[in-house]
Amino acid sequence: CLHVSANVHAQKITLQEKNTPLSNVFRQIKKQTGFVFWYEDNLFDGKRKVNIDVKDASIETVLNLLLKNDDLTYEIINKTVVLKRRPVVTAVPAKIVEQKPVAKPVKGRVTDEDGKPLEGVSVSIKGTSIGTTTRANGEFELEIPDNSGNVLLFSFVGRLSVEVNISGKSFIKVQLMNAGEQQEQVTIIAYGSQRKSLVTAAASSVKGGELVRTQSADLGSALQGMAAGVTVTSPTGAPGTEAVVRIRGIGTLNNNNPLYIIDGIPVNSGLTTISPSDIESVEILKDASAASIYGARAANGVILVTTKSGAAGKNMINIDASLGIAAVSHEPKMVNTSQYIQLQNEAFANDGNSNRNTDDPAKLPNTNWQDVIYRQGITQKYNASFSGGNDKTRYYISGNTVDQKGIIVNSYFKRYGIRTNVVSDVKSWFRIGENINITFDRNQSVGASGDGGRAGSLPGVVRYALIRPNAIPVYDPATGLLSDLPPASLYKNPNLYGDGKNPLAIALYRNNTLNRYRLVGDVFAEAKLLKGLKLRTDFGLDYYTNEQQTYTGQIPGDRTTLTDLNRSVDKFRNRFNTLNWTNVLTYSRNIKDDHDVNITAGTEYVAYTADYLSASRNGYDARSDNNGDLQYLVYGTGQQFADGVKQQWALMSYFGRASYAFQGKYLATASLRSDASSRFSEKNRRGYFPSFSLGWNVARESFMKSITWMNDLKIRGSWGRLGNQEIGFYPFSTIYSTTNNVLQVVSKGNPDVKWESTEQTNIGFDAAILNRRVKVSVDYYIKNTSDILIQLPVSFTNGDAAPPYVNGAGMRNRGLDVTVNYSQAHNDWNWNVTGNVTTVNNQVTSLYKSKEQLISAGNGLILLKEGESVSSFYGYKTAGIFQNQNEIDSYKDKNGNLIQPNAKPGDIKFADINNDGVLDDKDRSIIGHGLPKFLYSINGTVAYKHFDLNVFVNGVSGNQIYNEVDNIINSFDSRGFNTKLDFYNNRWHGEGTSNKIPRATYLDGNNNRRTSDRYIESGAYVRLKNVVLGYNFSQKKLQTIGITNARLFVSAQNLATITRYKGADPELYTNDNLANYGDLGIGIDMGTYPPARSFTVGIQLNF
Amino acid sequence: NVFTQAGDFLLAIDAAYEPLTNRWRGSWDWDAGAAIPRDWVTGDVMSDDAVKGGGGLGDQEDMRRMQTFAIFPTNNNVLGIWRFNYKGINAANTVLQQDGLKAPDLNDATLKRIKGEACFLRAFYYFRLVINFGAVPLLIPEKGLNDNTKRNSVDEVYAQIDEDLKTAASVLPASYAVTDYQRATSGAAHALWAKTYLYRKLWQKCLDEITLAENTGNYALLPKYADNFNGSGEKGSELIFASRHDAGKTPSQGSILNAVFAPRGIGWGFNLPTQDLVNEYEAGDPRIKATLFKAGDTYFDGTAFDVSASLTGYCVKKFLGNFNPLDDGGIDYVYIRYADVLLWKSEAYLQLNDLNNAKAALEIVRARARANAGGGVLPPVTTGNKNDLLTAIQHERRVELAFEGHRYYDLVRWGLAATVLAKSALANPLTGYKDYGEGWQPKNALLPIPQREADLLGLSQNSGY
Repeated sequence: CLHVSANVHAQKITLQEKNTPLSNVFRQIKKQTGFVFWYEDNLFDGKRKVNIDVKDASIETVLNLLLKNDDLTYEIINKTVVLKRRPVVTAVPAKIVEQKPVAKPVKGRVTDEDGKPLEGVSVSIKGTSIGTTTRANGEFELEIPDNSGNVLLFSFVGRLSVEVNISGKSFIKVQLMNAGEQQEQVTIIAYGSQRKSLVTAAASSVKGGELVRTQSADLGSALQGMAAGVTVTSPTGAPGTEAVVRIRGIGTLNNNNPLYIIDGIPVNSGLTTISPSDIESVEILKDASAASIYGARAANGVILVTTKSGAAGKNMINIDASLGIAAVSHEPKMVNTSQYIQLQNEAFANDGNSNRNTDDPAKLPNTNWQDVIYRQGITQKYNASFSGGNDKTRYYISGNTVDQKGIIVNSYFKRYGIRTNVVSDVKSWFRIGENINITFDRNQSVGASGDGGRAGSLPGVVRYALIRPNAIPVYDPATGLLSDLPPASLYKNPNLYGDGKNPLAIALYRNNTLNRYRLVGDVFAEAKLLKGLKLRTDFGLDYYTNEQQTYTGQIPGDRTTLTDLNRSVDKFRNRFNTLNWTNVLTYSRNIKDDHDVNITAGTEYVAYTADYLSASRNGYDARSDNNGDLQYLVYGTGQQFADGVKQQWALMSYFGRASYAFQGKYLATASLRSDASSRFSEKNRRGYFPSFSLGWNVARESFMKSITWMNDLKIRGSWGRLGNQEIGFYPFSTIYSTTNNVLQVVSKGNPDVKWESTEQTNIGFDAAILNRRVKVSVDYYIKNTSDILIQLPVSFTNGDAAPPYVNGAGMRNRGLDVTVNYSQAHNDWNWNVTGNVTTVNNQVTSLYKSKEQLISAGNGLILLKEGESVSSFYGYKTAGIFQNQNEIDSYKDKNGNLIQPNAKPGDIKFADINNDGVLDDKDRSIIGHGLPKFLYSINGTVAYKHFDLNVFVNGVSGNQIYNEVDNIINSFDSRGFNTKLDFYNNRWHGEGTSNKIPRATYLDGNNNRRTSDRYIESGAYVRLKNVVLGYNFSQKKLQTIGITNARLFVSAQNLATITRYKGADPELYTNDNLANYGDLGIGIDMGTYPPARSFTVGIQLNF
Repeated sequence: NVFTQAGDFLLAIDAAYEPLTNRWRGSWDWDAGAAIPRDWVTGDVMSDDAVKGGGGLGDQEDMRRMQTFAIFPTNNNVLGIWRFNYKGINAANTVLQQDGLKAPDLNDATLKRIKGEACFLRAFYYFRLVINFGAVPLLIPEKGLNDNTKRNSVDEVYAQIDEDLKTAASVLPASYAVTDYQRATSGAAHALWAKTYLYRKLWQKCLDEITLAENTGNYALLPKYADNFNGSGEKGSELIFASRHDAGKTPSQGSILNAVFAPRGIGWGFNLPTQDLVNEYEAGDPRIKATLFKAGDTYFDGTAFDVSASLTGYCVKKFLGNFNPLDDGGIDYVYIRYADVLLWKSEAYLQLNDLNNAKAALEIVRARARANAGGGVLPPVTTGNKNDLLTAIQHERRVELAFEGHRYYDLVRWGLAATVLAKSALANPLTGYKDYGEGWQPKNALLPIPQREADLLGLSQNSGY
C-alpha cells in the first residue's frame, strides 16, 4: 500500500491557467515548488485541458482542485507527486459478499476477482495503525477497539485498495480487483508485459506458490501437471536430477529442451540451481505467436521465469521450513536362494547339461539386496526472505537451502542459494535494477543407472541390487569386508553365483560428487524517453562451473587389488558462461480509449562459451584410500594427464513486435525476428522468424450483453515460424582431433546445413462463465518441423567419425491443450479445482531419402519411420510358447522346413510376420510406442476455516514401455543373475504351464531374449502425486507474539500409483544410458534410481 | 586437402594403424563393439584352443555365444570386428584422399611412403573383413566407390586387396629407422599378400610372394621362441608386422590385453587355454612355457601361478608382461612373424606336392624349438606321406602359433571346423570343458553382418543368420 503523507506542505503555489494541458500545469508547479510528478504514460490523455486560478495555495489544495471530479488521484511522497487512477469505489469496489450479525473481533476473507484467496493483504482500521495481513487462505481476524472507527482499509500490491464499513458485521468477504491499467491482470510476455485480455497467444501461467507446494527441489519437476501441453518426466529419482520438460511433444530429433529465460536471462541447463521458493511466476509460451520472437531458440517453446521482488511499503519477513522423510515406493520381488538354485538346476536340465548346483540353500545367505541399498531418505528445506521498500526503491533478499539425503545409501543433494533483487527509480524518468542469484550445489550420485556401459557412467547400484543373487552375503564371512565375487568358502562352485558387483560397495565407494557454482545475474536500466516510449537495456550473465573429483582407490574386499599405479585422482572443472545484452524499445499508448498500440523493437546478442578442463594422475599409495587430504593431484607420484577443449556459439538478433487492439475487442499482433547464428556456415547464417495472431473478445460485443452467464469469451488464432539451433556447435565443418597422438576425423561437416524450422498454427479460446466460477481454455495446435538436422545413419562402415548433419527429416505434432478451472467460495468453504488435458499426436513426416532408421539402445530397438511416431519400438512378435516338440515340428514353411529349428519345448514361438517361411530380421515390426498420447492432471484445493487441503493427481496413457531391465534379469541369461519372482512363478516348466514366459535356459539357442513384444508393457498410469493438508493458526493469538501469519502443513508425494507396469516406475523411463539418444530412447526402462514416496511436514511464518 | 604440414600426414597415417592396437580406448563400450579388437575372440576363443573365461558364464555373454556358435547378428563381437576394420579403412582413406599440395614441408618420398602404408593397411583390413564376412562394401574414394549400402563380391574385394598390396609392396621401404619399427614394410606387404593367396588356395602365388618377402627383409627366426612375446624381439628379425605397444606413455600406448588375459584376481582372465591344447604339445616342447601359465609356473614377478584362478587350470602368457600397471602393457601384438610365414611356405609346397621343400620349411620352425629345449625333443618330421605331413604342419601351426589369433581361421580353411568344433558331450560351461554349444555349422564359415549395419545400410545378411 502507498502511504499518504499527512503533513501539509508549506510551499505556496500561485497559478492562473485557462484551458491549459494538465502536463503543463504540472510543469508550472514543479518550477514553483520543486515537486516532481510521476505517473504512467497512459494515465491520462495528453490533450486533457484544465482551468485553475489559485494564489498562495498549498500543493494539496491545488491538486485537489485540479483533480476534482476526475478519475485521477494522487499521493505525495517526499517531493514526488504520484498520480494514479482513482479507485472507482462505486463501480467495482469491494463486493460485500456476505454479512453476519454484530460481534468483535471481525473476521473475513479476501479473495481476488476469481475467488482465489489472497495472502498477505494488509488489513487495517482506517485512521489507526491497528492492522493485520491475510493468511494463505485469504482469511484474517482483527480486534476492533471500541473507539477506533468502523472502516477497514484493504490494500495489496497490484490491486485496488478498498475501504469497507464494518459496522454491524462480524464476517466480511472482500474481493480485491486487479489494479494496473484499467483494473486488469497483466501478464508477462516476451520482452515485456501485456494486459491479459489483449493476449492472443497460447501461454500458460503457473504461480510460484503452486510450485512450492509440490515440495520439488527443482523448478522442472515442480511444473509437472501444472499446465496443459507441458510434459515433465524425471529421468531418475535420484536427488538433484534435472527433470525433462517438453512443450507440445517432441518436435525434432535433436535437442527438445525449451528455452528458459530467467528474469530476462537465457539459461542453458542446470535448473536445479533455482529454488522454486524464489519464483513469483512461470509463463510457458507454447505457440508461435508467443514464442517466435525468440526466433532460433524457440522451436521447443519458451519458459519465462519471473522471480520474486519486493513491494513498496510492505516490509516482510517470510520463513519456510520443512522436513521430509522418503522411502522407495516399489521394489520388484526377486527369487530367494532356494528358488534361485532350483531355477539354475532346471536350466541345466533343460540344456541337457549334467552339471547341477548341489549347494544347500538352507545353509546359504538369503540377502535382499534391495533392502541393503535402500534407506530412509531425509529432506530438509529452509527458506528465508526479506522484502519491502518504498515507492522509489524496492528490494527482495532471500536465502535458501536444501539438504536431501536420497533413498539409496550415500546419495545426496545439497543446495545453498542467495538471491537479491533491487529496483530503484533514480529519477522520475530513469529506473535501474539488478537481479542476482548465486547458488552452490553439491550432488553425490551413486551411479544408480544402467550397467555403466556408457562412457563415464558408473556401474549401476540399482541394477546390481536386482541381478546379484540372494545367496551372496553382504559381508564376506572370512574377511568381514564387503563381499565382491561370491565368497569361495560358501559354495561348492562359486561360479554359479555370477560375478556381479556388490551394490553396497558401489554405492559406498564408486560415487561421484559434482559441485556446481552458479551465478545468474542481470542488471538493467530503463529510461522513459518520450511519452509512451521506453528504452530498456539488460546485461545478463549466466556463469557456472561444474567441478568433479573422483578418487579411485582400493575398495576393501574387492576382487581387484590395486597397485599404487592403479590408484588415481581424476578431476574436471568445466566452465560455462552465457552473456547476453538486450536492448528493447517499447512504445505503448492508449489513444482515445479505443486504440491500444504497443510496439516493441530490440536487439539481442548472446554469446556462449564452454571451457572444459580435466586432469588426472595415478600413483597413490594405500594411505590415500583412507585419507581424503591425500586425494589431490599433487600427491600422486605417477603419470599426469591433462585435457581441455573449448566450444562457443553466438547469436546476433534483431526483433520487433506490433500489437494493436480496438476497443479491447479486436486484437492483432505481428512479430518478426532475425537471428544470425554461429552454428551455420556464412551462407546460411541468418534466419527469419515471423508470426501473426488475431484475437476477438466476443464477450465485449454489445450483442453478448444479454448472455449474462458468459463473462468472458476470447477467440484466438496464430501462425508463426520458429527455429532450432541446438544442433551441435560446428555442424558445418569437419572436425579433426589429435587425441592419442593420431590425427583423425571426429565428425564430418556439411557446409550446406541450414536452419531447422518449425511452423506452428494455433487456434483456441478462453472463456469464463457463471460469474467467472468456471474458466475454460482450449487450444488446438499443429506443429510442423521441417529440415530437421539428422546425423543418421550412424554406420560404422564409414568409420568411427560422426557422420555429417543433413537437413533430412520432418515431424508433425498435433494436439489439444485443455484447461478447465472451477472455483467457488461460500461461507467457510473455498473450492478451486483445475484440470489439464494434453493430447499429443506425433508423427515423423519425412526422413532422409525416405529411409527408415533403426536405433538400438541396449537390447531395445527404436524405429524411425515415415508415418510413425518417433520412438516406435521395433522387434519380433511372440506367438506363445512351444508346448511340445510337436508344435515346433508343425511350425514350418511350405517346403516342410522348420521355421524355428533351434527351438525346444518351452521356447518362444515368434511370428513369421511376412510369411516367407524364414524367421529373420524381416519379421520385425512395430511393437509399441514410447510416447504418451494423452496426459492429464487434476489439481484441487479445498479450504475450510483454518484448514486447506490440496490434492494433485496426474497420469498418462497411450504409451508402452520396453522393459530392458526384465530383458536382463528375467531372461534367465547365464551370467548367474538373479531372477524376478514373477519369472519363477510363471515360467514354462512342462507342457501347459505357461504360454507367456519361456523355460529357463542358459544356451537359449532359440534366442528367446531377442527384442520382442515379450518386454513391452503398457506405460499408462495414474498417480496421486501430491497431497497437502495445511492448518492456519489463529491470527489473534499470533499477533501477541509478533507473527502475522503461521501455517503448518503436512504433505505426501507419490502416495499411490495405479499402473499395470511391472518395472520400478512407469514414469522414469529415461535413463543415463539413453543420453546419446535423447528423446528417441524414450520409453526404454534400463533400471535406474527409483522414485521415492515421501512425507513432509513444514511451517511457514510471516512477520 | 586440409593437411598443411608433414606432421599432419604422419599423425593421420598413425590413425590408420590405431585400430590394430589393443590400446585402452577410454571406455568399455562393449555393446557398440568399441572396446578392443576381437582377433583373439575369433582366432582363439572360437577355436579348440581356448574357452572364454572371465568372470563366470555370463561375463561377456556375447563372447560365450561366439564360442558356442549361437552367434546372432546382434552380437557385439561381430559388430566390433566390423567396426574396427572399417575404422581403419576410413582412416586410410582419409590419407589417400590428400594430395599434400598444401603441406610444403612434406617431401614427395614421404608422401609416397605414407600412401603406401595406407594402401597396406586398407588391404590388411579388407582381408580381415573378407575372411570374416565375405562380401562387404568397398569404399575406395579415389575410384569413386563410396556406396556403403551394397556388398561388393568377394572377388572384387580381393581384387582391391591385390591392387593395394601391389602399390604398397612397390613403394614401401624394406625397413625403417628403429623408432618407426612398427610401420609397414615392403616385406610386410609381400607377406600379407602371400597370406591372402594362402587363404585363396593360390599356392604358387603364395610362394612367389613369400620369396619376394624374404628377399626384402632378411627375415630369420629369433634364437629364442619366447623373445617374440616378451618384448625382447620387438624390433628383431622374426617380426614382420605387429601393433606396437609402449608402456608408460602419455597418452597411454599400452596394451590392455595385459589386463584382459591376466589371471582372474590379477586381471580379468579371459581366453583360457584348454586341456586339449595342452595335450597337443609334444613332450618337452619348450614353447608351452612361453605360451601359457600352468601349475608350477611363476608370474613375471616370481610369485606362483594360482591354478584356481582359471577354470581350465591354464592362463595365456603370450603378449603379457609385467602386471603392474595392469592396463598399460608394453608387449606388441604380433600379426605376422616369420615362423608363421615359414609354415605357410611349408603348406603351400605341400599342396604343390613338393614334400621336401615343405619339410624343409617345417623343420626350420621345429629346429628352433628343439634348440630352445636343448635338443632331444621334437624330432624332425620325416614322413613321405602327404596327409601325414599335412597333419604335422597343422600340429606345428597349432603349437607354434597358439594364441596369435590364427587357429580358428586355420580350422575353417582346412575344412576341419565341423569335426573339431562339433558339439561335445563333455561340454560343461561351468567346469571348463570346452562347450561348443550346438557346434560349428557350415553357415559359421562366415559371421553374420552386424544387425546394426544391416539395419542402417540395408545390407543383405549372410545365409543362415
